[in-house]
Amino acid sequence: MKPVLKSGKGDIVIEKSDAALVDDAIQGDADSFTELCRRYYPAMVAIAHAQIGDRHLAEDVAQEAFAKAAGNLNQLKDPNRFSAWTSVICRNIAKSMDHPREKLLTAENLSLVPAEPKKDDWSDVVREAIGNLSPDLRELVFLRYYDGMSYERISEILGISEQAINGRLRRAKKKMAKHLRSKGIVEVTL
Amino acid sequence: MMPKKDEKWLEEMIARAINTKQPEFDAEQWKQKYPREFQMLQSPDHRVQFKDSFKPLNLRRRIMKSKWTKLGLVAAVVVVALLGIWSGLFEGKTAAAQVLAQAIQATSNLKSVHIKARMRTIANDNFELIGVKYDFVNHDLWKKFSDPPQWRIEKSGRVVACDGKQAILLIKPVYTARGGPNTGFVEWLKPLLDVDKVLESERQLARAKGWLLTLDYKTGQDNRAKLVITLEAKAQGDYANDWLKNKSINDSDNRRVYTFDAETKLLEGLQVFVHTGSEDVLVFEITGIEYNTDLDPGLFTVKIPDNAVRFTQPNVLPDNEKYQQMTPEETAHAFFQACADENWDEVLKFWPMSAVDQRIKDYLGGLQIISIGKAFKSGLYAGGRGWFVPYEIKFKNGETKKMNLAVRNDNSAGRYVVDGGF
Repeated sequence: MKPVLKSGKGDIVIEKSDAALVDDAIQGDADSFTELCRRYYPAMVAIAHAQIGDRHLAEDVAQEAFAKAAGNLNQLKDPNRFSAWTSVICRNIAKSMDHPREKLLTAENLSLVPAEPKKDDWSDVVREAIGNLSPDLRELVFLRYYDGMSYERISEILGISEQAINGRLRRAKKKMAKHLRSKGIVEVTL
Repeated sequence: MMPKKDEKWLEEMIARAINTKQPEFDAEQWKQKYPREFQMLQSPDHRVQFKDSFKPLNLRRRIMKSKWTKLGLVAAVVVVALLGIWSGLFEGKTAAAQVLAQAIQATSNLKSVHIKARMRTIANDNFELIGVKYDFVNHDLWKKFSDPPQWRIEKSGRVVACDGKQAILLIKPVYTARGGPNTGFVEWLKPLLDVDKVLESERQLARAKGWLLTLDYKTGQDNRAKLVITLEAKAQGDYANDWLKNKSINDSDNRRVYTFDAETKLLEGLQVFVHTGSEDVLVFEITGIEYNTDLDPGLFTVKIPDNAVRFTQPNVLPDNEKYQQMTPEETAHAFFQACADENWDEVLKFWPMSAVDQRIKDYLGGLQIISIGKAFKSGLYAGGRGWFVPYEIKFKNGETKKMNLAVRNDNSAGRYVVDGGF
């Protein structure tokens, strides 16, 4: 992340870049590292959540990813790539857990989906559609919709272009629309 | 005919399905959960550690008054000491990096460890609890150095096992919880299982905190050379109210005496003495340690009883805001009042579990609140987001109890929940 000027209550606050925070952390400023953690915690939780389907375990995974990052900070070659580097660590930890995505209902778990969703309550069906996405698309969907993360931020975290993000999100939404249509539940026009 | 919706609807539905309150990073909680990683960050040279060479020093127990002298000397003392000691074992001067490499190499082939220990604690209370007046309770700790590592820690009233993917806690007979491999079910004991890292992690901690760390050399009963590393550690939190003082290793001023085999660098013993002010009390002791034995794979799982009651994370309630606005004292009062009314659904809002089991109902049901005092903080509890609320209650059988109820709000629902103390 680049340095940012923030204005609040009349004060101008300069947010340090990731690279500056990483450098400070390497020099022994632990607060700089926790600032990086604050900055990327939602993204790491989203990545882990997309992999393992459990929010609470995802928070554990994200925290462990930061612990591993703290222990290996000297191995980060480009401090500008802290978020991308940590996201790889986080993804690997989540994958190693191999936890069933119990909260992302799968095709084998259809009995848990109400046949007739209550009016305006499509969450389970949509969740099922998310669960049927490939892991990379699901991760992107989580990042984008966890807290409305910008394409620019996602691009930094995943290390892919904004155009690629746009294309993949489009593909994810089409797959989800197709899934919803195939269930005879709703027709989504994209 | 299927209803037709547009892309905006789909996006709203996705956001709703994922249904997340934005997670917030709790730095204090993280520091507590990963103290060694945090200490490594605070060590200014963690990027280049062990790359310098050192001059041998005469090793004596010493008191250093200057913080910087202490820091500098503590930083060097273990490695230098190792060099000094091992200079008799190895020809010529050995670079610190080589010494550490040898230590790591010596422990890198470990397949398993089984530690038997005893600790002054309560059998079914948490693994962190100590008390200088408590009797010793036997503990068993196992670790398989697989990838990912698997481990188990057990005392008669409580067990935690990790199969490498998740850890399961069982508080006998029926209470259970699960979490990731690093969930804080076992607190201070788990790093001890990293016998391959304990020497280095304690060195880092001493260096970061400026604690006195000394090293002696002695011959063991087996006529082998031993390294005895002694760390004088200080309590870590704020003890303006000393309720938590000396209730855990990290909440006490203590002396930790590690014994390593000088040649293999393997941990052989540990004793922890708490300084109470008037005496030093042995609170933890390794009574036996075995390496590279075959461990039964069944050790790393825990059979959960059919009638298990699960600890859960507090959910966001439909009227969560009402509970978020409660002070610790109001939370304690509302919790006890719900017990008094035997309104168990309400109790579960303050004590997040899958159910209230009959034992608790019998114990707390129908109680009377005598008094609720002013909440206070102590030590490291909940990274500063936990409080203790003094209370006095009267049970149905007429007995009364005065204690401090522990409440904390470091959860995603953002409201105080009861964590213990009754």
